[in-house]
Amino acid sequence: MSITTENNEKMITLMSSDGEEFVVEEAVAAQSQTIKHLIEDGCSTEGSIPLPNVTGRVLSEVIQYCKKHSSSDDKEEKELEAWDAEFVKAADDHVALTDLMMAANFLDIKGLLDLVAQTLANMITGKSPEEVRRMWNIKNDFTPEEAEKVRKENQWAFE
Amino acid sequence: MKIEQSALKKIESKGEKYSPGNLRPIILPMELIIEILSRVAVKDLLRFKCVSKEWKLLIEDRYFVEKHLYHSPCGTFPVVEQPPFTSLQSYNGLILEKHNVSKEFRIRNPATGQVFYVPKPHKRIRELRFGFAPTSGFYKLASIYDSNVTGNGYGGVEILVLGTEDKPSWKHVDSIHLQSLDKNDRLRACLVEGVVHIAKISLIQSRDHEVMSFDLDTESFQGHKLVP
Repeated sequence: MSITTENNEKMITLMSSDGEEFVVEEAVAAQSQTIKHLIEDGCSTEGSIPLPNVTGRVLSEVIQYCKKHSSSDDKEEKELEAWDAEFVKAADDHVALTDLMMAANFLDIKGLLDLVAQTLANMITGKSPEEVRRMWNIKNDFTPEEAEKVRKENQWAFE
Repeated sequence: MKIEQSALKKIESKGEKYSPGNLRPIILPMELIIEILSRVAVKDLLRFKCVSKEWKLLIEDRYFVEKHLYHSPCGTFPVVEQPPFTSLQSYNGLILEKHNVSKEFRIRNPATGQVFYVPKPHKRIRELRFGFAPTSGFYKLASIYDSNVTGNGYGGVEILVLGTEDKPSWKHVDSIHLQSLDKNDRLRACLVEGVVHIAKISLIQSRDHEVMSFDLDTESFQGHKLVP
């Protein structure tokens, strides 16, 4: 669906995996390299662009980010940094951040991917292996002997 | 603008959040693990080797190490010496050091605490330099020796490739540029971006000095210049 507003901005419709539709300016959506390529390939002329990997909740956050970043120029770098910090803070926990990161990866939005990756990196800093495993349901596949050996080799990192 | 506003409204109305107690299984794909871990400090990485076998393999992987280095904060950090070793050169966060008494050389990674003892170089060693050879993907050491004060023997260059085998050994560089060296020649070297620049200074006044450029990557001389 291609709609033009009074301001002559081309609009496109994005559809989330759970069927929610978001009508956004093409310039905003094109912050995503994936969507940009879909538009270039003419995939947006008929109906909306389906995004089967992104839920409506996550997509709305992604669109917020893209809107902010398409309307700001370089002069506002400081303000944008502060906005980014608030944005990831609002995402609240590592589960929401991981969802956001998966979407940023699928949609290929480099700035957002960098931002969320750095936030998660800061979040796991200082955590124990056990805490990290719990965050992402990672299975500890070391035998007790192997685990002891790896731990011993890197003993100072535990002090 | 009507459509735009309705889209905005939609965003504002989506206030749902996960509660901390929500244990929905969430799987982190490998490509995202790489993105996150490449932004974590070394000490945390070493501890995270204990998370799982997959994480350990990743953290020890050479391409991951390169990616991690790329994200590391640029600039220098203070080199804390460990007597009786004196630091000679620091490169990519690694330090080349020399033992004050035994004259033994070693390369130390202050972030991980790993130490590699360099096999004994030529006994008339004058300079030792190390750098990264991007094409081969290895760190290489270049040892430059000359005929020293006693005027015995001729100078030359030896190369040692790190990380290819458990016990790497020095290998002699054979080049036409080195064949003309005699006992009156003294060699000095410096390393810039993977190229060892070697100055040949002759003790005989009438002779020209020379500067030779040795590429660590190709292990060959790529330039030669006379300096009056």
